[in-house]
Parts: sequence; structure tokens; C-alpha cells
Amino acid sequence: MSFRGSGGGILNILEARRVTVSYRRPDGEQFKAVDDVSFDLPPNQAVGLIGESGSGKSTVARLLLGLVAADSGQVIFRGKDVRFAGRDLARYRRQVGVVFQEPFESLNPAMTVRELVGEPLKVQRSGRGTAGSPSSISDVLSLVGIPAALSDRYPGDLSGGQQQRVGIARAIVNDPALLVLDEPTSSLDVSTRAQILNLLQRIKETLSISYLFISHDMETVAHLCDQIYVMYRGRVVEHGRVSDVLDNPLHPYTQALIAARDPHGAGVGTRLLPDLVGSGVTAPAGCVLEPRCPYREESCRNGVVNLSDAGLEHQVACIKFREIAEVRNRSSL
Amino acid sequence: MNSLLAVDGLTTEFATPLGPVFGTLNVSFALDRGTRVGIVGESGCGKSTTIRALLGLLPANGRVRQGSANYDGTDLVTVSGKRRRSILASQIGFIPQNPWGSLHPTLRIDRQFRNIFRATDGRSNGDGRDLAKEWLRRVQLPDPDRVLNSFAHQLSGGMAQRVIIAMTMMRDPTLILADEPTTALDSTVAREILEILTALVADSGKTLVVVTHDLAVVRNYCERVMVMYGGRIVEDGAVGDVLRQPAHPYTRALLLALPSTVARGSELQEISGTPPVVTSDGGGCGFAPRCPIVANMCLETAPTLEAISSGARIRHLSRCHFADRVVGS
Repeated sequence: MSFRGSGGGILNILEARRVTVSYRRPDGEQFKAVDDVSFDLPPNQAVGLIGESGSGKSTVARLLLGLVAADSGQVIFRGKDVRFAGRDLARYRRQVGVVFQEPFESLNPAMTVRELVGEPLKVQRSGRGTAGSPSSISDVLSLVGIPAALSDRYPGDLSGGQQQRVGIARAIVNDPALLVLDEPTSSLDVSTRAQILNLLQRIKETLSISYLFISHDMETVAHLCDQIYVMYRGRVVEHGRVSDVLDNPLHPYTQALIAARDPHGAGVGTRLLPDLVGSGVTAPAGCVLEPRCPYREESCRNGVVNLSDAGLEHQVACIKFREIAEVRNRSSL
Repeated sequence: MNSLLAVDGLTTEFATPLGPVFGTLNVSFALDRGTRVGIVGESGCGKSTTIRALLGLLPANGRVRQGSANYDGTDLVTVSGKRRRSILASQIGFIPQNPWGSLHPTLRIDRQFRNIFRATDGRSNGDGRDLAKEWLRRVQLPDPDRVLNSFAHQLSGGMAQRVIIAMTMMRDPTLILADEPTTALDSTVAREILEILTALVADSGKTLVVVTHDLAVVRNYCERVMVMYGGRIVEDGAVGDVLRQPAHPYTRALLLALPSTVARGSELQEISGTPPVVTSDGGGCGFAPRCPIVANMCLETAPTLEAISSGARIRHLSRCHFADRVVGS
């Protein structure tokens, strides 16, 4: 498997190996936000991480940015275990850019566009310095489509789309190897979203950069990404190439995510996932979806369900996925 | 003829430090009884302002400058506060984007149901707890007693929105106005809530207006759609007609900007520029600065909302000089 990293011959930019991150809740109890998660970010690929609130996708972003530490497991950057401390952390951070969901909230309102984009250059030195990387603030601004006339303006003078372009400029000005995009288009309107998605596509091709694209929106992930990890309650429940996961979703949760957007088209025959009313935060002993799953049975509660191979470069964490696929095939005939 | 609500020339404006800005401009439409209508558009297009003006819920700096909204013989724009409250209490329901904002933070849910029960059903005795439980079951909350004993902050977003829907339906309104009812919810939960809401509305023959930025919501749950841009309705017709054969360049561009309409990874059709801040109602077409088929006359003469000459099932209106050309393309 090419994107399985070690042994595949391709050196991944980043690998997460069985990472667990937990938070302490106000009542003192430990809560696993990310539970035994592994993923690979191959060079020049966009990897999508999709999930809803509480899936742990934003904690993965914080982990990659060194904002939280893993309880267990490893994050390996270019073959080297990243320990989030001291000089290593600074060196690592130079290589990883981030774009946030709310562009305005993430920009200092008292700094001009030029100052905002120049700030990372002052704080950190350039990450890669590869050929073709933009060499000046003006180059970066023109790459993200901000007219020179706007470079002395403040964030408050810009539209939402322009603010997000500035956010992207800040993320790429140091020429990082990896961009973490945390819902970069969720707060934008449809017409602006198309501009930003096209821009991200263009930047990926121009700068040969890897993306970890975090989103709750299947359509956006499908558009921009090469492969996709579906997360639910801290665990990866399905992983594969975008075309495989979108056209042949195997996990009932992935199926419900797709059907939610298109109940009468692609979602025909998909059963509703009842809202998990008052589920609390205690994770179920077995499959994480079991309490909501329309296909659940006794055996789903017998211990943690891990990802297993379901096809070429396609893995699913469901013990009943073959049966479910048969039921779905029959109902769509 | 049998319209439940007739909005005519509704113009609203907001006082801002930079002078007055229009929220809606000359918005007119009539709602037939028992239909499900979507109002769709981007931030600032006037879609929420339209229904908030009907509800008397404009913010302090906003006001209706012109127009009327005839609901069953009463003009909602000029009606007195007392009469408006009585109409809103018994006949028009409102479902907001943020359910917690409409629930009392320090009263248990059963007290809030009881207050509604007493305000709307003066005749009967009892506290209406059984009725509340019945409605909570109909919005598919499995443990109504637990919900009734909870405070709003103890409910998830999906649960709180179901409680709002139950409270709204219990009053048996004729018209329900929903402002981005599922925008704050996860998509699997959103789907369930929309299925429940539209089924309850259809079963009881109520009229539903859903304001949303999401064309998928309109496509899946509405019969008719009005598209707004720059404070005006730019297109109005049956959902199937409008989404399959848009008659306004803005609607067409919106549809082409969706990732689901192009091959994965290929370039999306961009709409250049940004939506306008409307400070005057003069001049040409509001979409002209961003329009791919703009012509000289668009800059000079504002188009009116007119029926297109195609074989649409219901009236299909477009505010474009070249509507018939857009439909044909």
C-alpha cells in the first residue's frame, strides 16, 4: 500500500502512529478526544479528515501544531519522532503552516496586511527554501490573489474571502512542507468558498505542499482531497481514496454523512442515524457508533472495533460491513 | 387568491455609522397555504431580514421603511404591539438558528412548556405536561420526562432544536418561519430534524418558510424557492425548475460554485467580487458588477421580477433582462 508509509518506499511527510490525546473534564474524569488514531500524510497529497462536533478532528489539528501533547503514540515528521519541546518544536513548527476557520478572529486587527504576512518571516526563518517558493511578501500576496493596493489596509477593511486569503498567505509565507487547514471555508459564503477552494488547489500544485484538510463537509473534502479519514468520537472509522469512500462508503456513519446531504440521490436506501440523545461522554465499550447504529447487534458491543482492510487502500472499522453492503445493494435495486 | 401571507414592496433599512443601508428592497411575494418555501441567499442578502421584519424582530437600528405584509387581513408591518403578540402567540411560529437563544436559561423545560400552554390554552385545566410529553415524542425525543426536567444548557443542539419545534407545533400555528434552523447542527442531526419538521408540517397542512444559505436544504425539503441577492428577490419558482433551469445568472453561478456540480478536483466556477452593501435603490441591476453576461442596459435600467416565458409548472420569475437566454443556456 503506497500510503502506508514505512515499507511502501514513499517517505511520508508525516505519520501519526496510534496517537491518543485525552482531556480532563470538569468532574475530573479523563476523556479521550483522540483514541488510538493513525494516519499518513504523503508528499504532495491532500488528506481529508472529516467528522462532526466531538469527532476529535480539531484535536488532531492541535496535536500536529504542537498545541497539545499525545498521551501515547508517536508523531513522526520526515522519519523522525517529533518531541514537542524546545528547539525541536520550533524547527518543526516552521515546517507546518495553519489556516483557521475564522479568518477575522485569527488576524490582528491593528496590523496591516503587509505586516500580518511579514510577521511569520520575522518570527521564524524560512522552512524549506525550495526553488519556486515565493521570495517576498508581495510574491505571496500575488500568489493568494490580494491586489498590491490592499497591502496597507487592515483586516477590518477586507471581505471575508480576502481575510482568508491573508490567512493563507501567512500560512505559506515560510514555505512549509505541510499545511493544516482547519475548516478554512466553513465560515464563507458559497461564492467566496469556490474562490478559496480554487486557490488552495492552485497553491498545492504550485508549491508541492501536503494538506491535512479538516472539515465537516463531505462535498468540500471530496473536491480537494486525494484520500480521506472519517472520524467519529475520537476514532477513525473509515479510510480510503476519496473516490472509494464517496462512491462506496462502507461504514454506516460514512453512509449517513453522505446521505445527510443528498437523501434522495446518493443517499437512497441509507437509514437515518438517530440523534444520540443524552448519550453523555462515556465512550461505549465496543464500536463507537453502536448506540446510534441502525444495524447494531449484540456482537458490536464486544470490545473495540479496529480498522481492517476492506479493499485496496480502503479500511473500515465495522464488523458487519459486508452484510450492510449486501442490504444496501438489495435495497437500491 | 388563497394566499396566507402577501408581502408587498417590503423595504427595510438599517442605520449605520456610514449612513442608511438597505436590508431588503421592494420585496414582494405571496404564500399559498400549505406550501414549503425556501428563501435562499448569501450573508447580507436580506433573507433573514425579510422574516424578521414580518415578526417585528428587526434589531434596534433597523426599521421597515415601506411596504406591507398582509397576514389574514392584518398588516404585520403596522399592527399594534399587542395584536402582533397575539398573532405570534397563536398563529405564527418562529424557529431560530440558535435554539438556546430562545429557551429560558434558568427555567426547566417543563415550566417553559407550561407557560406556553397557559398563554395559548386558557380554557383547559391542568399544566399541559401530558400534551408537552406527547409533542416531545412526536419530535422523536425518546425520554420526554428527562427532557422536561432539564435546563436548556443540559440539552444538545439537536435536542434543544427539537424542543423548540415541539413548543412551536404545540401552539398549532398556521405559518412557521424558520431562520437557518439547522445551520448550527451536525449534518446527520440536521437531516433528522428537517425530516421531522417537514413531516409534521405536511401532516397538519401548515405553511413553512425556511431561510437558508444551503441549496441542499431547499432541494431536499422545499417545493418553492425564492433566491435573494442584494436585498431583492432575483428569482422565484418551483424548486425543480429553479435548480434545474435557473433563470437568473446569480442562481446559475451559485449552483456552479458548488463542489458537487463539477468533477472532483476540477476548477470551480468562481463568482468574482463580493456581495454588495446596498446603500441606494437606484441605478441598474444589483448583480451587474459580478455578472458574467452583463450588458450596457443592465448598468442603466434595473430589471423587474417577471415571469419567464418557458413552460414552468408554477410561476417562474426572474429579475434579469436576459432571463430567457439564461434559461436556454
